[in-house]
Amino acid sequence: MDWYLLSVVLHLLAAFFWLGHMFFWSLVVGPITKRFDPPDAGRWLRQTSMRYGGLGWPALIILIGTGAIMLMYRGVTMEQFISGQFFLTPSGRGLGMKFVLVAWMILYQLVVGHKPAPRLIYVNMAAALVIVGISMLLLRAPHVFGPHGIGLP
Amino acid sequence: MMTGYLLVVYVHLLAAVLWVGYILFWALILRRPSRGLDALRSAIFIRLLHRTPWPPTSLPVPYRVRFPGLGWGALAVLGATGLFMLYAQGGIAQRPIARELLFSPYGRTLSVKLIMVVALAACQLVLIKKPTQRWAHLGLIATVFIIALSALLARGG
Repeated sequence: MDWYLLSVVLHLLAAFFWLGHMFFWSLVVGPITKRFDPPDAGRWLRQTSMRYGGLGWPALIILIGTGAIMLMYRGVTMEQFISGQFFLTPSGRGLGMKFVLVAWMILYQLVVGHKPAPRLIYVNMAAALVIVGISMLLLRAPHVFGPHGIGLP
Repeated sequence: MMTGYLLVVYVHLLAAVLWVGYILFWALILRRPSRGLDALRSAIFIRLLHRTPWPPTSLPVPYRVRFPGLGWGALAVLGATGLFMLYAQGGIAQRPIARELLFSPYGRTLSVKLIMVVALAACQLVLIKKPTQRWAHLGLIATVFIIALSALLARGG
Protein backbone atom coordinates (compact mmCIF):
# COMPACT_ATOMS: atom_id res chain seq x y z
CA MET A 1 0.00 0.00 0.00
CA ASP A 2 1.43 3.36 -1.05
CA TRP A 3 0.44 5.53 1.91
CA TYR A 4 1.92 8.63 0.30
CA LEU A 5 -0.25 8.23 -2.80
CA LEU A 6 -3.32 7.52 -0.64
CA SER A 7 -2.60 10.73 1.29
CA VAL A 8 -2.28 12.73 -1.95
CA VAL A 9 -5.59 11.34 -3.25
CA LEU A 10 -7.42 12.02 0.04
CA HIS A 11 -5.86 15.51 0.22
CA LEU A 12 -7.07 16.32 -3.30
CA LEU A 13 -10.56 14.86 -2.73
CA ALA A 14 -11.03 16.81 0.53
CA ALA A 15 -9.84 20.03 -1.12
CA PHE A 16 -11.98 19.62 -4.26
CA PHE A 17 -15.16 18.72 -2.36
CA TRP A 18 -14.79 21.45 0.25
CA LEU A 19 -13.84 24.22 -2.20
CA GLY A 20 -16.30 22.99 -4.83
CA HIS A 21 -19.15 23.16 -2.32
CA MET A 22 -18.03 26.58 -1.03
CA PHE A 23 -17.54 28.15 -4.47
CA PHE A 24 -20.63 26.71 -6.12
CA TRP A 25 -23.02 27.66 -3.31
CA SER A 26 -21.51 31.13 -2.79
CA LEU A 27 -21.02 32.16 -6.41
CA VAL A 28 -23.81 30.33 -8.23
CA VAL A 29 -26.62 29.09 -5.97
CA GLY A 30 -26.52 32.05 -3.52
CA PRO A 31 -27.08 34.82 -6.10
CA ILE A 32 -29.86 32.75 -7.76
CA THR A 33 -31.77 32.22 -4.50
CA LYS A 34 -31.50 35.98 -3.75
CA ARG A 35 -33.53 36.63 -6.93
CA PHE A 36 -36.43 34.52 -5.63
CA ASP A 37 -39.70 36.30 -5.01
CA PRO A 38 -40.93 36.07 -2.28
CA PRO A 39 -37.47 35.98 -0.60
CA ASP A 40 -38.55 33.09 1.64
CA ALA A 41 -38.63 30.95 -1.46
CA GLY A 42 -34.88 30.39 -1.37
CA ARG A 43 -34.96 29.27 2.26
CA TRP A 44 -35.11 25.57 1.46
CA LEU A 45 -32.03 25.75 -0.77
CA ARG A 46 -30.11 27.81 1.79
CA GLN A 47 -31.08 25.39 4.57
CA THR A 48 -29.73 22.56 2.44
CA SER A 49 -26.51 24.54 2.01
CA MET A 50 -26.16 25.14 5.75
CA ARG A 51 -26.82 21.48 6.50
CA TYR A 52 -23.88 20.51 4.28
CA GLY A 53 -21.78 23.51 5.31
CA GLY A 54 -20.47 21.02 7.89
CA LEU A 55 -18.16 19.80 5.14
CA GLY A 56 -15.58 22.38 6.31
CA TRP A 57 -14.32 20.76 9.51
CA PRO A 58 -14.01 17.15 8.25
CA ALA A 59 -12.27 18.46 5.11
CA LEU A 60 -9.85 20.59 7.18
CA ILE A 61 -9.00 17.63 9.43
CA ILE A 62 -8.32 15.40 6.40
CA LEU A 63 -6.28 18.17 4.70
CA ILE A 64 -4.08 18.79 7.77
CA GLY A 65 -3.62 15.07 8.53
CA THR A 66 -2.77 14.05 4.96
CA GLY A 67 -0.63 17.19 4.52
CA ALA A 68 1.44 16.19 7.57
CA ILE A 69 1.88 12.64 6.20
CA MET A 70 2.98 14.02 2.81
CA LEU A 71 5.56 16.29 4.46
CA MET A 72 6.86 13.37 6.53
CA TYR A 73 7.26 11.22 3.39
CA ARG A 74 9.15 14.08 1.73
CA GLY A 75 11.69 13.96 4.57
CA VAL A 76 10.64 17.04 6.54
CA THR A 77 11.35 16.42 10.21
CA MET A 78 9.63 17.99 13.22
CA GLU A 79 12.97 19.57 14.27
CA GLN A 80 13.36 21.31 10.89
CA PHE A 81 9.78 22.43 11.15
CA ILE A 82 9.94 23.86 14.70
CA SER A 83 13.38 25.46 14.29
CA GLY A 84 12.19 27.22 11.12
CA GLN A 85 15.06 25.70 9.11
CA PHE A 86 12.57 24.14 6.71
CA PHE A 87 11.11 27.55 5.85
CA LEU A 88 14.48 28.75 4.49
CA THR A 89 14.17 26.43 1.47
CA PRO A 90 12.18 27.52 -1.64
CA SER A 91 9.52 24.85 -1.01
CA GLY A 92 9.48 25.79 2.68
CA ARG A 93 8.83 29.44 1.82
CA GLY A 94 5.94 28.50 -0.46
CA LEU A 95 4.55 26.16 2.17
CA GLY A 96 4.93 28.90 4.81
CA MET A 97 2.71 31.20 2.72
CA LYS A 98 0.23 28.37 2.32
CA PHE A 99 0.19 27.75 6.10
CA VAL A 100 -0.58 31.43 6.82
CA LEU A 101 -3.59 31.25 4.49
CA VAL A 102 -4.67 27.87 5.90
CA ALA A 103 -4.50 29.45 9.40
CA TRP A 104 -6.83 32.20 8.14
CA MET A 105 -9.27 29.59 6.79
CA ILE A 106 -9.22 27.73 10.12
CA LEU A 107 -9.89 31.05 11.92
CA TYR A 108 -12.77 31.73 9.52
CA GLN A 109 -14.17 28.28 10.16
CA LEU A 110 -13.89 28.84 13.94
CA VAL A 111 -15.38 32.35 14.02
CA VAL A 112 -17.86 32.35 11.13
CA GLY A 113 -18.41 28.64 10.39
CA HIS A 114 -21.90 28.08 8.99
CA LYS A 115 -23.16 31.60 9.71
CA PRO A 116 -23.83 33.88 6.73
CA ALA A 117 -20.90 36.24 6.05
CA PRO A 118 -21.67 38.23 2.88
CA ARG A 119 -18.24 39.92 2.60
CA LEU A 120 -15.87 37.67 4.57
CA ILE A 121 -16.82 34.64 2.47
CA TYR A 122 -15.20 36.34 -0.54
CA VAL A 123 -11.99 36.94 1.47
CA ASN A 124 -12.11 33.26 2.40
CA MET A 125 -12.60 32.25 -1.24
CA ALA A 126 -9.72 34.51 -2.32
CA ALA A 127 -7.50 32.78 0.29
CA ALA A 128 -8.62 29.41 -1.11
CA LEU A 129 -7.76 30.52 -4.66
CA VAL A 130 -4.26 31.57 -3.58
CA ILE A 131 -3.79 28.27 -1.68
CA VAL A 132 -4.70 26.32 -4.84
CA GLY A 133 -2.22 28.44 -6.81
CA ILE A 134 0.58 27.96 -4.25
CA SER A 135 -0.07 24.20 -4.09
CA MET A 136 0.15 23.97 -7.87
CA LEU A 137 3.40 25.96 -7.93
CA LEU A 138 4.89 23.81 -5.14
CA LEU A 139 4.27 20.75 -7.29
CA ARG A 140 5.12 22.13 -10.75
CA ALA A 141 7.54 25.04 -10.18
CA PRO A 142 8.85 25.29 -6.58
CA HIS A 143 11.77 27.44 -7.81
CA VAL A 144 9.44 30.47 -7.97
CA PHE A 145 9.60 30.58 -4.16
CA GLY A 146 13.38 30.88 -4.27
CA PRO A 147 15.43 34.04 -3.56
CA HIS A 148 14.82 35.37 -7.08
CA GLY A 149 11.17 34.36 -7.23
CA ILE A 150 8.14 35.49 -5.28
CA GLY A 151 9.42 34.04 -1.95
CA LEU A 152 10.71 36.11 0.94
CA PRO A 153 14.32 37.34 0.48
CA MET B 1 5.75 29.26 -22.21
CA MET B 2 6.13 27.99 -18.62
CA THR B 3 3.92 30.79 -17.26
CA GLY B 4 1.26 30.05 -19.89
CA TYR B 5 1.38 26.34 -19.04
CA LEU B 6 1.03 27.05 -15.30
CA LEU B 7 -1.88 29.38 -16.01
CA VAL B 8 -3.62 26.63 -17.99
CA VAL B 9 -3.04 24.13 -15.14
CA TYR B 10 -4.54 26.67 -12.71
CA VAL B 11 -7.62 27.20 -14.91
CA HIS B 12 -7.95 23.38 -15.19
CA LEU B 13 -7.91 23.11 -11.37
CA LEU B 14 -10.48 25.91 -10.91
CA ALA B 15 -12.80 24.40 -13.53
CA ALA B 16 -12.48 21.07 -11.70
CA VAL B 17 -13.38 22.75 -8.38
CA LEU B 18 -16.47 24.32 -10.00
CA TRP B 19 -17.43 21.02 -11.64
CA VAL B 20 -17.18 19.13 -8.32
CA GLY B 21 -19.39 21.82 -6.72
CA TYR B 22 -21.91 21.44 -9.56
CA ILE B 23 -22.16 17.64 -9.41
CA LEU B 24 -22.19 17.71 -5.58
CA PHE B 25 -25.07 20.21 -5.72
CA TRP B 26 -27.15 17.83 -7.84
CA ALA B 27 -26.28 14.83 -5.68
CA LEU B 28 -27.47 16.76 -2.58
CA ILE B 29 -30.46 18.52 -4.08
CA LEU B 30 -31.89 15.38 -5.68
CA ARG B 31 -32.13 13.77 -2.24
CA ARG B 32 -35.20 15.91 -1.54
CA PRO B 33 -37.25 14.99 -4.62
CA SER B 34 -36.21 11.37 -4.24
CA ARG B 35 -37.62 11.29 -0.72
CA GLY B 36 -40.56 13.68 -0.93
CA LEU B 37 -41.91 12.86 -4.39
CA ASP B 38 -42.26 9.77 -6.49
CA ALA B 39 -39.55 9.18 -9.11
CA LEU B 40 -41.69 10.23 -12.06
CA ARG B 41 -42.81 13.56 -10.54
CA SER B 42 -39.34 14.46 -9.32
CA ALA B 43 -37.92 13.69 -12.78
CA ILE B 44 -40.58 15.87 -14.39
CA PHE B 45 -39.92 18.74 -11.97
CA ILE B 46 -36.19 18.72 -12.51
CA ARG B 47 -36.54 18.31 -16.23
CA LEU B 48 -38.84 21.32 -16.33
CA LEU B 49 -36.32 23.15 -14.20
CA HIS B 50 -33.80 22.91 -17.04
CA ARG B 51 -36.29 23.79 -19.78
CA THR B 52 -38.41 26.56 -18.32
CA PRO B 53 -37.33 30.16 -18.96
CA TRP B 54 -36.65 32.42 -15.98
CA PRO B 55 -38.66 32.95 -13.76
CA PRO B 56 -40.09 29.41 -13.96
CA THR B 57 -43.38 30.23 -12.25
CA SER B 58 -44.96 26.91 -13.22
CA LEU B 59 -42.56 25.05 -10.89
CA PRO B 60 -42.81 24.54 -7.12
CA VAL B 61 -40.62 27.16 -5.43
CA PRO B 62 -37.77 24.92 -4.20
CA TYR B 63 -37.09 23.71 -7.72
CA ARG B 64 -36.77 27.11 -9.39
CA VAL B 65 -33.05 27.07 -10.04
CA ARG B 66 -31.19 26.84 -13.34
CA PHE B 67 -27.53 26.79 -14.33
CA PRO B 68 -27.66 27.18 -18.09
CA GLY B 69 -24.52 25.85 -19.66
CA LEU B 70 -22.52 25.64 -16.44
CA GLY B 71 -22.07 21.85 -16.37
CA TRP B 72 -21.08 21.63 -20.03
CA GLY B 73 -19.05 24.86 -19.75
CA ALA B 74 -16.91 23.49 -16.93
CA LEU B 75 -16.46 20.18 -18.80
CA ALA B 76 -15.48 22.04 -21.99
CA VAL B 77 -12.86 24.11 -20.10
CA LEU B 78 -11.55 20.91 -18.45
CA GLY B 79 -11.31 19.16 -21.82
CA ALA B 80 -9.61 22.07 -23.60
CA THR B 81 -7.08 22.79 -20.82
CA GLY B 82 -6.46 19.04 -20.35
CA LEU B 83 -5.67 18.64 -24.07
CA PHE B 84 -3.36 21.67 -23.95
CA MET B 85 -1.52 20.20 -20.95
CA LEU B 86 -1.10 16.89 -22.78
CA TYR B 87 0.20 18.73 -25.84
CA ALA B 88 2.60 20.84 -23.75
CA GLN B 89 3.94 17.71 -22.05
CA GLY B 90 4.58 16.16 -25.45
CA GLY B 91 1.88 13.53 -24.93
CA ILE B 92 0.26 14.10 -28.30
CA ALA B 93 2.71 15.91 -30.52
CA GLN B 94 5.95 14.04 -29.95
CA ARG B 95 4.95 10.46 -29.28
CA PRO B 96 2.90 7.85 -31.14
CA ILE B 97 -0.19 8.26 -28.99
CA ALA B 98 -1.75 4.78 -29.48
CA ARG B 99 1.47 2.98 -28.56
CA GLU B 100 2.00 5.33 -25.61
CA LEU B 101 -1.52 4.75 -24.30
CA LEU B 102 -1.25 0.98 -24.54
CA PHE B 103 2.24 0.23 -23.29
CA SER B 104 3.40 2.77 -20.71
CA PRO B 105 2.06 2.97 -17.12
CA TYR B 106 1.43 6.72 -17.63
CA GLY B 107 -0.46 6.04 -20.86
CA ARG B 108 -2.59 3.32 -19.29
CA THR B 109 -3.55 5.60 -16.37
CA LEU B 110 -4.30 8.39 -18.84
CA SER B 111 -6.46 6.00 -20.93
CA VAL B 112 -8.50 5.02 -17.86
CA LYS B 113 -8.88 8.72 -16.97
CA LEU B 114 -10.09 9.53 -20.50
CA ILE B 115 -12.60 6.65 -20.34
CA MET B 116 -13.86 8.01 -16.99
CA VAL B 117 -14.14 11.50 -18.52
CA VAL B 118 -16.30 10.07 -21.34
CA ALA B 119 -18.41 8.27 -18.69
CA LEU B 120 -18.74 11.56 -16.80
CA ALA B 121 -19.90 13.36 -19.95
CA ALA B 122 -22.46 10.57 -20.46
CA CYS B 123 -23.67 11.03 -16.85
CA GLN B 124 -23.99 14.76 -17.49
CA LEU B 125 -26.00 14.09 -20.65
CA VAL B 126 -28.42 11.77 -18.84
CA LEU B 127 -28.59 14.10 -15.83
CA ILE B 128 -29.86 16.89 -18.09
CA LYS B 129 -32.43 14.67 -19.79
CA LYS B 130 -33.57 12.69 -16.76
CA PRO B 131 -32.12 14.00 -13.48
CA THR B 132 -32.26 11.33 -10.82
CA GLN B 133 -30.19 10.76 -7.71
CA ARG B 134 -28.66 7.62 -9.27
CA TRP B 135 -27.13 9.55 -12.18
CA ALA B 136 -25.91 12.35 -9.92
CA HIS B 137 -24.23 9.74 -7.69
CA LEU B 138 -22.69 7.98 -10.70
CA GLY B 139 -21.31 11.35 -11.85
CA LEU B 140 -19.93 11.94 -8.37
CA ILE B 141 -18.24 8.50 -8.30
CA ALA B 142 -16.72 9.11 -11.74
CA THR B 143 -15.45 12.49 -10.49
CA VAL B 144 -13.79 10.83 -7.45
CA PHE B 145 -12.03 8.32 -9.74
CA ILE B 146 -10.89 11.07 -12.11
CA ILE B 147 -9.38 13.09 -9.22
CA ALA B 148 -7.59 9.96 -7.93
CA LEU B 149 -6.27 9.17 -11.44
CA SER B 150 -5.14 12.80 -11.84
CA ALA B 151 -3.12 12.46 -8.62
CA LEU B 152 -1.48 9.33 -10.09
CA LEU B 153 -0.73 11.13 -13.36
CA ALA B 154 0.79 14.11 -11.52
CA ARG B 155 3.21 11.61 -9.94
CA GLY B 156 4.12 10.24 -13.35
CA GLY B 157 1.46 7.54 -13.74
